[in-house]
Amino acid sequence: MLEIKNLYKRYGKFLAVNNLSLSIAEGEIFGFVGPNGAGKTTTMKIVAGLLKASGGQVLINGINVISHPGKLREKIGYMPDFFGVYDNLKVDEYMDFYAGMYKIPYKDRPAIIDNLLEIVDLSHKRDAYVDSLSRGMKQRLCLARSLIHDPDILILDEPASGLDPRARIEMKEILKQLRTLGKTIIISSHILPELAELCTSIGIIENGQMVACGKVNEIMQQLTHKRIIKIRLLDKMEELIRILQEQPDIHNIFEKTDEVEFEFDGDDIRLSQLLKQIMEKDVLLTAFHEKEGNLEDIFMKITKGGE
Amino acid sequence: MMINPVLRRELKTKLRSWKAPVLLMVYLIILTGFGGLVLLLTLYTSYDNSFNPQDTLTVYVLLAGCQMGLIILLVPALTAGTISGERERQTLDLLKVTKISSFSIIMGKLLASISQIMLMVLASIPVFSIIFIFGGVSLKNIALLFLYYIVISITLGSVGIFCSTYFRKTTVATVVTYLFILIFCFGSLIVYAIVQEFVYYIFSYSDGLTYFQSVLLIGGNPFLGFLSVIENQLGTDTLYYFLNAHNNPLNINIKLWQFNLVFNCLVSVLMIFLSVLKIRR
Ligand SMILES: Nc1ncnc2c1ncn2[C@@H]1O[C@H](COP(=O)(O)OP(=O)(O)O)[C@@H](O)[C@H]1O
Ligand SMILES: [Mg+2]
Repeated sequence: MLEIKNLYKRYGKFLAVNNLSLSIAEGEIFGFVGPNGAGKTTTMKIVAGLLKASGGQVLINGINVISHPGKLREKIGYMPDFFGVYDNLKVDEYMDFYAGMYKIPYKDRPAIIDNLLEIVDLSHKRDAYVDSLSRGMKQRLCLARSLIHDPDILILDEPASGLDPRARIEMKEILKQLRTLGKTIIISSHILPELAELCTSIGIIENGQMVACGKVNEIMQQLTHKRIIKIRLLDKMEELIRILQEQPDIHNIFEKTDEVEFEFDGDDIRLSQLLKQIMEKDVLLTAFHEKEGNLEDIFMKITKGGE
Repeated sequence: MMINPVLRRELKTKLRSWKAPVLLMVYLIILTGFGGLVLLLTLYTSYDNSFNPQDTLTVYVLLAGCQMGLIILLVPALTAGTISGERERQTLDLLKVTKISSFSIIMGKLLASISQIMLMVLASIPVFSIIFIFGGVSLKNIALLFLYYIVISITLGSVGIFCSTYFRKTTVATVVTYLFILIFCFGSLIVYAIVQEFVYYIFSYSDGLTYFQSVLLIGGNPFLGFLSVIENQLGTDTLYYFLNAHNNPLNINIKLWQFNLVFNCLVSVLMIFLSVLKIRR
């Protein structure tokens, strides 16, 4: 359905997207996660045909977006991270305007608009002026707008950002409903848990690079379980290895001349017990620390919402 | 048949806002106020306190000039914010991702602004009709004048839209549009004067520029275009000497206003073309 191959985007000297590749199958809901400034918006704008890539390809059903932007406009629905509305325009006129922009015949519009306003729960506001709506309502209206031409692919750039908790939940409920429409959806966020329950697969981006990509459960498992511990020691290497091998929550022990690295599944209490156990055997340690692995680092940022 | 959705929305929101009617009212007040003043002055200055057809013509010319000035002042204000305003409001991307072409977006914007100007110009017809009562100006004359208004509005409007697509901020776009028009109106006159001097004194061509060269050089000037339209109606020819019309070896008889209309159309096409190019990316 959607394939991004070796995408690059340069702003002057700054590389905002760096050799990014991903592939999304039809009907999938792809969560695009990464801290602020990671390059999510840039990537999505390129897919939506709003920005020119510095290199690479974006293929939709095998057609290159970059060389045929016109052909793909009707296939893509796009909701930007920041957007405005017009003054002196009512909700249904707003929808009608964008219906016109997609050349939808006048006679088909009322039914489409009714249906979409129903989905985003704004039917009761159809005669209200758009600029009088709350932030959450505007966001929902913009979502309805992005669906007006019944696109196959929906690109939603942080649809829940800047909303209060209640509006956030409402938005989430609507997004869950969208799953039933059978569309391929790409949705971005800088907060991982926000997407985890909504998506079928997830890609994690940092500094313009994709650091992990796959099915939700795989990624979550990778992120929550894998901690890498590094020990540096002066002697008694065999002794240490023996202790480590006895532990049920240690895997993939990797031995160098004066260093040992391993994956650790346990919590902090288990970790301190392990250290105590090693010390009791008089192994002379010079360092015992958790390696600042890429994934944990990013995970910390995206689970907390990063700053 | 579908109306350009940008035009449709613009007209709808314009008519709803308080700005459009207020602007129209101020416009008419200025125009009638000016017309009334001129009328009174001609009345008082004529020695028998009565009207003669020559006075009506004076009033007509001054009124037409006032309208021309208002158009030159208003069009940039109405157009220079059209695209940059969408950008500032963060709605431009939402237009660009749709199926509508960049050309339709630009034309929708231009037509909406021109419609607003046309509304004002049409509303001014009753003011002008006072002059018809006294006679002296034919309907055909007034039709040509109003055609000229439309064409000059489109030209200045497309310059405004061009600036609006190339400059991110509405304020900058507005200032640059006025600068453009200033150069258009006065800069061309200065260049023309300098070239004339050169030809006379440096190259010592005693006859100066030919009529056709003069028209090519200065014929795009909106003031002279307007003056030429008016002179065509009054049958006067003060532009004759200004344009060296006696020096016409090729015997080309194109009137300045005719050239001016063609020139304006070409400028509009160019400006619209450049705007479309810019907005596409
Ligand atoms: N127009 C631009 N000019 C220069 N740098 C930009 C521009 N847009 C974005 N950037 C930079 O590119 C990086 C990626 O931005 P963005 O795609 O908006 O990230 P995200 O949406 O993941 O927060 C950021 O460091 C940002 O500062
Ligand atoms: Mg972003």
